[in-house]
Amino acid sequence: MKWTHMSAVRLAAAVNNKEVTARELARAALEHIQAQNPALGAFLAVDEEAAIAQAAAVDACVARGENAGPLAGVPIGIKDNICTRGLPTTCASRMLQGFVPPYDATVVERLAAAGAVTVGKTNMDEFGMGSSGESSAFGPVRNPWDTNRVVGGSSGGSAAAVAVGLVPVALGSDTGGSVRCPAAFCGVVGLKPSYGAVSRFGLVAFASSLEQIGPMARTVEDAELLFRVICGRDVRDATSAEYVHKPVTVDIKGMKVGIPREYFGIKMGEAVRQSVEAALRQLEALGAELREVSLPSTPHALAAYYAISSAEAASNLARYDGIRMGDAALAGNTPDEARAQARSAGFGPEVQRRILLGNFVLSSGRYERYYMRAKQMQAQITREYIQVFETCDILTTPTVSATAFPLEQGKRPVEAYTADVCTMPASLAHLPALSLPCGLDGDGLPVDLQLIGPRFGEGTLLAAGRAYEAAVGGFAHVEVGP
Amino acid sequence: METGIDLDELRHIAVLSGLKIEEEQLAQMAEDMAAIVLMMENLPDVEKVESTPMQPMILRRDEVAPSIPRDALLENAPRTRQGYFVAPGATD
Repeated sequence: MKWTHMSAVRLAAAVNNKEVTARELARAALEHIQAQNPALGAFLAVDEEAAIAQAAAVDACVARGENAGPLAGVPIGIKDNICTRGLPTTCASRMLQGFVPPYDATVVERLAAAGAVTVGKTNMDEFGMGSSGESSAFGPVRNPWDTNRVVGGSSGGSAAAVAVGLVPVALGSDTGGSVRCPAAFCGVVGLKPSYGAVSRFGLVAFASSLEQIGPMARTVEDAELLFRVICGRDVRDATSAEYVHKPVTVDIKGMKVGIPREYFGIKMGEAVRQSVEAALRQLEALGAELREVSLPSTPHALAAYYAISSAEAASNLARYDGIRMGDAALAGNTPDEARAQARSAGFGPEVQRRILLGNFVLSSGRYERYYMRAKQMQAQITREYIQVFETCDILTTPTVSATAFPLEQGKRPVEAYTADVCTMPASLAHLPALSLPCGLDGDGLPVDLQLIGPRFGEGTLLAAGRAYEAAVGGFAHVEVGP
Repeated sequence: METGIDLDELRHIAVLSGLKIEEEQLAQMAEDMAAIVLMMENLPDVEKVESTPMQPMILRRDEVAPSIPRDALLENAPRTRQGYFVAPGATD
């Protein structure tokens, strides 16, 4: 039985019903990873012993006649910027090479309590900074649909792992599109929760006022299950909200679906346009009421995002000094020298660029002109979304304006940044956004549709996603290897 | 509006950032940054709007609770001595 192609919901039921053991599932996942990971680079670290031990604990629980949890025995990948006790957490950076956290992130604790089995840490763009999956210090992640193409970022490893079925579900993190973009390039489901819905305790900080940990899966049901397990108030994260997720049944018939004209006026691949428009027609056929709306400040989201996120990144990454963690071989005559040496050797070029940019926009004489104006634009964008949601239940847009491009295309930074133009605005406005497969282009590469909901409106968003998925008969999956 | 990044300013920002940018990379870094800064320069002024408040941060109660043991916290450091991180001296 091909357990590696089953959903997390199905696998957990199978373990709780004693159709299969958690150890069998863990071994199947580990074998699959061993076979496929060299070609994909999806995983940076795999701990076989710990995974089997965790699975054994789940099996012991089932043997005692207890329910082992809604994720019983489900193998899961964790993005490598989420702390896992005893398992390296490098953020795909030389700066954190060899760093082993002494604690688990809250989301990891909650997954374990639900019976999930962590099999390994997934590759990513360094410190979450990148949209292609090419900025890892330990090699790029390759797209399983075409291994000469990018996987998207920054949660590329998690997206690739789920797309191929190395694991049925994985965690990513999303600051400006880092769950949704790789979900789109890999044809999987990705959810960026509302800011505050999921604890950030144990998520290595990049842009603290924007980022959220989110689930990636091959079905909406699995993404929703993972979200339900990880979301909710955490006393260790003061920004986490009193949020409890209950799946809702919402009739898509009569649902008011807004189509923001600014998202469809951008330069877009023809296959993306056609796939997204077909998806809109599908929603309409299900009884949704489509209506054009306007979010006039959308074109300014990119600039506002990079000012704010880079400023926060510069502050957050100031802690890396080569003294409390780092390479003993690096030395300097003074603390400043040692710090500069460690940071210059430890951070890749994209990270260094963002740190410089962040400190530039925060510097004296620049702060009011760039950072404060960006914050005002963020407030404006947020207000426009709030107004639109007075007359719409959800919004639909493409997730990314193009399909996965070739590796090593050598884009200049500002060109690369435009990949996230459809995902950034929802991040700035702290809204939930769901990326769903909606088609393939002429080269067989996936296209995703993005649904955006009001803050803490994940119930409606996921209900719409489930309805769409059911209407199209499920999502196409990539088959890799024997 | 001037949006080029002055190289002397970039060298200063690099020092503040704790980064050593090699001279031969400075010009390219400045050019890459200038393109992004130009986007920010073109942000329109918006009328100051009432920010929609995010939910207030909920601080936990100020109660003593177990923390991570010191030895565990020191384990990732490249150099330690007698329970402290070792760093280059700031004075002779």
